Amino acid sequence: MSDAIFSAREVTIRFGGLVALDRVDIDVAAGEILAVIGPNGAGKSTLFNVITGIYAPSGGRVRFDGEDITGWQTHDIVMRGISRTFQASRLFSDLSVLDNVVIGLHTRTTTNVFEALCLPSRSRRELTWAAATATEILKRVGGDLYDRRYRRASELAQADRRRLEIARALAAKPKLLLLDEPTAGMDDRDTDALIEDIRRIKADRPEFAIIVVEHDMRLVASLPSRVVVLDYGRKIADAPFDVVRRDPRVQEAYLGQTEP
Amino acid sequence: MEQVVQQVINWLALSSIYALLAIGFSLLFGVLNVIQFSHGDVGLTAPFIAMAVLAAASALFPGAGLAIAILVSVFAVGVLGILLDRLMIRRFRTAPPMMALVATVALGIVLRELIRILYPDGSNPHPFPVLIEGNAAVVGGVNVSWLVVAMMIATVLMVAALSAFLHHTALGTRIRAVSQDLEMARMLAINPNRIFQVTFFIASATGAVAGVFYASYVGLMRFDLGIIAGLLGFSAAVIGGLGNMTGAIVGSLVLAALDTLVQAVFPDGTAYRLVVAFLMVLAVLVFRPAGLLGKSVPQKV
Amino acid sequence: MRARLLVAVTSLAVAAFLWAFMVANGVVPLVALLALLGGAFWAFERYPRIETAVIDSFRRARWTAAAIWILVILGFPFLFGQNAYYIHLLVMCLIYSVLGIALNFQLGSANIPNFATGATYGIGAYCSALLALNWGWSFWLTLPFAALAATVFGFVLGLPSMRTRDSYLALVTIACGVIIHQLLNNFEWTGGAQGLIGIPAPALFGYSFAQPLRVFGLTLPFQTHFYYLALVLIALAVVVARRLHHSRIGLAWNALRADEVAARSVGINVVWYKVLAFAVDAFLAAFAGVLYAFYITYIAPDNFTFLVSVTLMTMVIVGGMDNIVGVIVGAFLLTLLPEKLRVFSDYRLLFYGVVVIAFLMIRPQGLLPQRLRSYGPS
Repeated sequence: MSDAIFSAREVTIRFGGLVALDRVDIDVAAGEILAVIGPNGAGKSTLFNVITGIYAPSGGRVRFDGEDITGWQTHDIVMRGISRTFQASRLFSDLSVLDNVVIGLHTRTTTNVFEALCLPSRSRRELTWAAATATEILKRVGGDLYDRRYRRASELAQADRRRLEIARALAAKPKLLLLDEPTAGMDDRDTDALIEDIRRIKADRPEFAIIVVEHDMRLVASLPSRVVVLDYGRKIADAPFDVVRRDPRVQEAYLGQTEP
Repeated sequence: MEQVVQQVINWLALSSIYALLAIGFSLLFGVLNVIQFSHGDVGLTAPFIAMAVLAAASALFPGAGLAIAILVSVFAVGVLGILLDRLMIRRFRTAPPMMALVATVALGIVLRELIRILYPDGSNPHPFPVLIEGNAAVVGGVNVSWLVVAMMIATVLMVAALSAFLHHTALGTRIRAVSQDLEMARMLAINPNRIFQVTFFIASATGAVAGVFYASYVGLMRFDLGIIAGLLGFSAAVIGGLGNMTGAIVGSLVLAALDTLVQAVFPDGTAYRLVVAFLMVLAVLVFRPAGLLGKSVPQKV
Repeated sequence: MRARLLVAVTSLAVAAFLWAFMVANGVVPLVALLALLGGAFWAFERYPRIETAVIDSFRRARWTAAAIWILVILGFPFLFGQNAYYIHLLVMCLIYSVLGIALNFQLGSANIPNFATGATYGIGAYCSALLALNWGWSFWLTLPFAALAATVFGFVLGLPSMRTRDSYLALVTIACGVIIHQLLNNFEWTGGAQGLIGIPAPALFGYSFAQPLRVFGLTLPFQTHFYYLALVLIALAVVVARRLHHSRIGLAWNALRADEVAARSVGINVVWYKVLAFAVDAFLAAFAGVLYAFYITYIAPDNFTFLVSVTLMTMVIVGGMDNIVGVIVGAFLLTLLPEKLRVFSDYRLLFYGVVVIAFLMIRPQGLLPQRLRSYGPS
């Protein structure tokens, strides 16, 4: 695919003898939503960890936005425009909801230590801007995050924790957003609200791409343009949802297990 | 030649002391995920307890007084370990690691001070008897004392016993299970508190043996030797790879070798032994953070 | 108005307590005062509303608070008249407060263990003392050089944090601390175990700080000069701490305290911020070291041991991580406590250890826990 903003080629990762990802190819075009599904242990989260540089791949290349980012440090990759959420939400739980998003703006602020010490007005202005921007972001995501912005993140309910993680990831204005099981622990209503949230975000910025790892079939059926299926670290399907769900190999590996 | 043989003997003697301490650190860290910083101090209370009960033991068991006193002290220190766990260390298991670190450092202060205050004239060094008098053999013109031979044999036996216990008994297997995955162990209905107690007993008693050996080897005991002993034992465990028994032993051999070498080769070596030991620790931590034998585990995300 | 009243009452009560605690002599008054302190914090714990009300009133009546505290702080030495010992205690409290604030960047903001602050403090002290003794440099001139040397050491100390964390990193800092102490002990040019003696007192435009201070017809001991000098230093430390805390840097430190992987994933260069925390700590600790060297005029390796570092860690944890006022409270309490425990003579260190453990078990969040940031009027 020539218009791919993101492409992984033959990405492989081994932990000791275990092959967690085996020559996986993935392409994402700008503006596309790609779902990655697969049974537990198929390597979905590992894929995200490789993309964001938390693990270095044992083989293969990862390209993003015209650059080879294989082996880059996580913070450089984020700076380049990839943000993510985590499967078990990893908020800065002893900080306020607002601070979580302000920290999400880290890549869009620039104060260094000398400026912070010698030009306090500049640093304060930047932080005021960040707080205002973060407040705007919180207003736009659903739930009552905005009302709870001065509470500790640890006090939030499960669905709000997910939303806050997404808000924090969006704060960096990524070109590619990685969502790791965003509906885990959510009930149907929360899931619907989340699907709405994602649609709204997409409507704001049509060029922006999302890879979502998901178990919830409603979300997979309604949002993405394409579905990649992983099984035991291998890619076994890569097609629109309607095609994928009729694929016997996929049914055997995945759908057969979860939808009796 | 004699020089070399003498240094080899010193090396092995030091290694066995370090190893016994390092094993305790490793075991405690593996199971509790807490660095018991006062482990050295716990171990070094043993010689004081032994000397305190020596008179009574000699009266009751003429001829075997010292041996009995030492057995009593080792057992007592094991119980002390359980006590410390129940009263204090257990509460820090889920706390941030920094809290546990500072708390156990403070515990070390308390233990040292208790020895100093409770033992008659505790502020000053006291002589400690040689466990076994006499020489076992003459190697290359150098006398090898029974003490050193006994230390090495005892260390090997204890390591073998501990290893057999951990791998071939139900209780040992449970200890290893807790050390690998506490949550999993809970699901298998293992009562972690019992495991912690057993671990504390074993580690502290092992440390007590190290403490007695140390006092006997240098011929004296002092209330504040625990801090250096603890730091060296911990360093040995880290050099080898924390939470790994073989690592603790290898680390001890390496650290003791370095220690002996520095003292033997450099004229002012004794003054710099700690510097060299800790430079070694730094080098290992920077270049092989998981220790010489440790496997580096990918960070769980 | 109510806020102002509450601020005034609390502030004066705190100052009065400090004064009483310092001059208290004998077991009974001391135990009574400690019980009072314990009771106050028990009340805080039991009725959080009191704590909230006090904090809130300080936030609203901040100018009143500032005015009262400036008066209290400037006037405090006058309460002790001729008694040099009390002024000395105050100076030590202030020096330890600076060290506590320095360490707080790591321990409090970023949750990085550092058992080598005692060593950086020592490097600052030795550096300035050597410059002064060998080349006759003045106090003011040695300050920046000592700070620079210590900062470089801080960077070096921080480098292993690229590869290690938590307990392992703690060991790295312990190792560095012990190495520095041992080297100071063994080198000839640092005076060995004897250390360095005869460090000249600082002077300002020919006015020596070693003479008694005469103001308003009163004569105060020479230590009073150092009290005010230490105040300047602590003001500097507080400004640095506040500016960093209320900036992107403080936020980044807090982020990596809460969750390092998440911090990386929002684009924070974790290694750089860790090393930075070490460097800032070393910079401020060196200042404290220089002041100490020129104040005591005599330094030895044993002033900068592992135990000093442990004490500092304890001050930050007991006072309250990431809370500047808390750290200062912790530093005062734990500097004065061992002095006051002299009435227990031989049991001093034992009590100290027990008190520390008790604190960690009873109020692990510290006396004054960290507070959430607020941005403008909420």
